[in-house]
Amino acid sequence: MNKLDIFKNGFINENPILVQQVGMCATLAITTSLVNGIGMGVAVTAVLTGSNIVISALRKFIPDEVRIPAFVIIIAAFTTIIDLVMHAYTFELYQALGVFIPLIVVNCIILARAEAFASKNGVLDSTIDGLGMGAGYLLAMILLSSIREILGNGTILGFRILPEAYEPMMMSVQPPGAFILLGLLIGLVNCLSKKKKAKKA
Amino acid sequence: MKNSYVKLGGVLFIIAAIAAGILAWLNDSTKDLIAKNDAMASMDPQVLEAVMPGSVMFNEYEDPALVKSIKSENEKFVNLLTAVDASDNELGYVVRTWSTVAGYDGDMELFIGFSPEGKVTGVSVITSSETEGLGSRTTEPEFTSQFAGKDASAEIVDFEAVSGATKSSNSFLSAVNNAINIYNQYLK
Repeated sequence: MNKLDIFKNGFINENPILVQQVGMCATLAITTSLVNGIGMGVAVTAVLTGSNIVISALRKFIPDEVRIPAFVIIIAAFTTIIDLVMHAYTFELYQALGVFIPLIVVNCIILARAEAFASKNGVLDSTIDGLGMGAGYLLAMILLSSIREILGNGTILGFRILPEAYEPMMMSVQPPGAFILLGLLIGLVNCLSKKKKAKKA
Repeated sequence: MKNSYVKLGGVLFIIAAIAAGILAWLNDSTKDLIAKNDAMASMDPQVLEAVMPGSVMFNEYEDPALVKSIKSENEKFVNLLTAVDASDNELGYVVRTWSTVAGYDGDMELFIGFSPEGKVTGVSVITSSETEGLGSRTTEPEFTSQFAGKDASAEIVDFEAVSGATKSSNSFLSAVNNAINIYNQYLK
């Protein structure tokens, strides 16, 4: 696989949320506004890329029998780093994301990439894989959180874009709205990717 | 066989030790900022209003040397702050301190406000691990509001303890009195 393919694989073909559908818990919970979505997306990308780099660099040093605990330590360390940095420097965002920052540690996508990719590939490829998967995660977060903020609040990044007369659709920023809108989004992506495949064939 | 276990454990140990080292360093370099952020966040309007009516923010006291010297002489003392209103006028001092007498489950941490006339303006609990529903009633306004307006020239003796939670109430009072002593010794 060349470098661009690795990136595209994570960004579109195997998008962690829209295609693989892993790590949904935080996705559904915090995408009530675009700021939160971007913050969470960036935090996950940082942990994912960081742990991919370290794990791929250490892949020959870590014996097979203890690779999972070793991966977990590395992922937990990166999550704690992000947690501390956000607590110190982006406090408002940290408060909005709350418990979902420490919970990045159990986000399946990160351990999955460590196991499926970083433990078998070189540092450069693993970095690109981490960035690609992270970008894919971020893209899905941005799409879902923009839709939810616009429908549920009539604003985007806090700026009003729908007229005052618009009656906010409260459900969209509440949990049921998250499920429904994410479902519709995944449906739309499936529909588009099928059309694309049909064209190719 | 035995050797391989040692090796496996050793590798995990090295990884964990390095991770712990990095985190210890990062924790050390961010802890001041984090403490400041948490302090700002604990400034919810209700606390401000309870401790010093009309205040919008508690700022650090203008003379860090005094704060340092109080800290070295009074180990329960946490910080000295200046309460300001929306147009930045000083309304009085706020002492942040732990209790000197332990409650039912450890010390309590309080804000105690003082007016320029030498009266307690209000008290609010920051940290407390007293029993939920019993000792925890010392954190509620029904109990804490009795201290507002009390004379701060000497330690408070008379007060209404929460019934059934004397130990928590006494712990609370010890923090208030510690603040009063600090106020009389350093700020008058």
